[in-house]
Amino acid sequence: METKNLKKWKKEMLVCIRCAYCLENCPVYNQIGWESAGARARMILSYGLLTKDIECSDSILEKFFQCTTCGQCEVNCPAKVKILEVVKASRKDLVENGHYFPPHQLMQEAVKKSGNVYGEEKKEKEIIQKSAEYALFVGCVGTYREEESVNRTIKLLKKLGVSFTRFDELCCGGVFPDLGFENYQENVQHNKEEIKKTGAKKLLTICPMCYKTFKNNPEYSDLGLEVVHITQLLNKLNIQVKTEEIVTYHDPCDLGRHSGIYEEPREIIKKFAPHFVEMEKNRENARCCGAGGGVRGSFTRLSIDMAKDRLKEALDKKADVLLTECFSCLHNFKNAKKRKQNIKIYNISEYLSILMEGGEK
Amino acid sequence: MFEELKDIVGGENFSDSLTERYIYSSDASIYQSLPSVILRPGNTEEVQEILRYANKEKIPVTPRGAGTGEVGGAVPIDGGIVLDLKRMNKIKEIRIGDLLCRVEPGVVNDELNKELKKFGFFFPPTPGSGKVCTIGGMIANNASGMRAVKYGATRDFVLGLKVVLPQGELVSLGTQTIIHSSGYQLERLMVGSEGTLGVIVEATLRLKPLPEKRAVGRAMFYKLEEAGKAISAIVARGLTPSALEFLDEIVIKSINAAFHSGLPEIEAIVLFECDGNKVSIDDEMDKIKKVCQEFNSFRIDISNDPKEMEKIWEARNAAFPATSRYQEDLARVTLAEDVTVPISKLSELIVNFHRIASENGIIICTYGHAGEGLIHTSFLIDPESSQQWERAKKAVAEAFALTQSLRGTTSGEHGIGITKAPYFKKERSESLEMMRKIKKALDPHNILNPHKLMDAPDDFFTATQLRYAIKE
Repeated sequence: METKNLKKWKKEMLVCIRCAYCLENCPVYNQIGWESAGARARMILSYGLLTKDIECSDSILEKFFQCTTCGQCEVNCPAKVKILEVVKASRKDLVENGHYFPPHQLMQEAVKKSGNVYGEEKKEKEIIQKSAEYALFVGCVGTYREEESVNRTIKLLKKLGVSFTRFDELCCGGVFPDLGFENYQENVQHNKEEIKKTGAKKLLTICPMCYKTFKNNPEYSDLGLEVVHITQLLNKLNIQVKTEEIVTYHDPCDLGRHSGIYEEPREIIKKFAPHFVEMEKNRENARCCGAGGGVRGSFTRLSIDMAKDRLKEALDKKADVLLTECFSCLHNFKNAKKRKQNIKIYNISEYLSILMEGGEK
Repeated sequence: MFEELKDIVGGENFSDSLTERYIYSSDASIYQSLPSVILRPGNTEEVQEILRYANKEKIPVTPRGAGTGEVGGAVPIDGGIVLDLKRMNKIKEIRIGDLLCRVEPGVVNDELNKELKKFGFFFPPTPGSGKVCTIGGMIANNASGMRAVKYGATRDFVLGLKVVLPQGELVSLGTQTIIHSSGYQLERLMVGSEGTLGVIVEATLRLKPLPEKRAVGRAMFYKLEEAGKAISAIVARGLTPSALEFLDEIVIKSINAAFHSGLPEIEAIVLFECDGNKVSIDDEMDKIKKVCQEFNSFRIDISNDPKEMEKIWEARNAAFPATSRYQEDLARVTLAEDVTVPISKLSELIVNFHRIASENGIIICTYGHAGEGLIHTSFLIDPESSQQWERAKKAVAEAFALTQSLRGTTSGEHGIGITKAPYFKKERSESLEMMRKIKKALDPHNILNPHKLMDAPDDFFTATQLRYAIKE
């Protein structure tokens, strides 16, 4: 198997001494229990593929694609090995050699055909105003799976007097490098042109994956806009509502570990929720919800089991409300929640919107 | 052939797939060797059945905790069965009134301490791998860590063990009392036996009360020799720091290069920690400070503020990643990584390690548990270059010869496994025969972790396959 992508990361594989510190808090290893489910295994397999000591098989493919790319392993690694880069390079080499999971390829085809990862008919966006400070990018999961949450967030932004507009957005493509696929460049061009047309000086995202993509992916680097996550914006605004409910917060991997935004969400929550409690694992050690890295699409049961584990942490703290600010986390937690579990799950912005409407106090 | 084994543990805890075998072929050492099958037993009875079968069929069995060992102890050098014991992870009971707990071998060190903390107690051995390593692995290797200078190693906390012997019998060794004088202390024989004599299925461990407070200090020395003398004087004067660590000049430079820490690039930094109540800590810290000053430490920082303490420890915690990134074309390989000498010989050992490195054209960084006379080394080489391995091999042999000439020992806390066996055999030449007789008596068919310790090959480099793709 050709390994031209892995070659670039050989040093990382040699620096990894296979100490296994990466197993701690690895959400996939915690579920499966076999060492092959953890990051060390993926480092071993990557070096094996690179040196042609092993050949690709279905089972190797499975090990690479069970990873949610949450990045907890990198937090633990004493040698600061760039584990996720190695995993992504392995995935890219596997895909380029014809080894991939069909749902991922279907996702790419869907994006080409319909502009969103679900292949669903495009939804028209309400153009709020022509000239605005922020161009709002919602993303696929919010638009097609968490519409109610999106609507509430939009209502909140209007109520808070945020100057924003929407545009004809297509999938940002942030998920594809994680899956070993190339992004669809026509969509990138489309997004860039549409954003420019709005005349906005800042791009506002709700989805942390989209935030990360617009902020860091080289293909969007010439956009010339400040990219702002909604928690960064909300933290600067005056919030006057309060709730007496016990509230906890889940750090989405893309917002926390991958983007370093830990405090803004907490600062917002503390403004309206005096009974805020931290879960046992928080900030850079927050457990992944299980939705990322393509796992939800290919290993649905595993993904839900990870979400159940995280949900249990919130329940252990006797939280009435679990807040996050990521549609993927939100969606996965809602799917994992049992009917008898009395916990409400919202994005922060969505919950604020409900509070400002006079609900759930 | 393995259907019977599959029936014992169930299909979901059995694997003979090449992918699983490949992953379980290595640990944190330099080796890899494929097992035939991996089994994950869930209870003592399953372990007994597996060993009975393996003994009958003469199949090698390599017990495994988290696979964090650096000497190849969990590498199945003869193939056969890898016995992954992490499913046996119950804390069976915590009896604070008796100062003990009973646990299964797969309990993770930090998980145990998390539970014990609720009662204000702890299990003191603190290996760097504490967040993932298992109690079974710690016992099998007599692990310790930076607090051993005050509290001792795992051995000092094992009161009793339940062990499945190679032929499948279950034996209870030791007691559930804090002391005993009742014959052979066979539980201690199992500590450090590296899975060659039996499979630990339960451990009774002694507990200690958590100290009320901690304080840490950092002393800078222009001269390594003076740092060494200060370390020796600290212990000789009856002071009992709960950690006493040092970093050498190469490590300091690596930390600055990797993390822009702005540490003075001097020959040695000594880090110390005291725990206990406020009065005793203040007194001890003051005395240690005075000793460091006596040996010309030019700057000493002390704090009991949690954030400040974390900052002081940062330098120690950065040692590993920094040395891994010291030079683009080099990587750390685990060789001679925990030699230990009488405390007074520490600076002599370090000075000569640097000489050996220089004479062999490689880089060796040193840091570690000074208060125990233990140094961790980072051998930095290109692990895919056969020439560099030749140099490393020569340096390793010289390093161990030096250690033995200083009346030191081959391993302070990581064990012997495969990597250190040739030098261990020289060091313990007078007791090898007794060790082999014990092994033969307990394991007549040599099925348990064969060819390790005193039975490992004489050339660590060719003992089994290295995990690196080495080029001529």
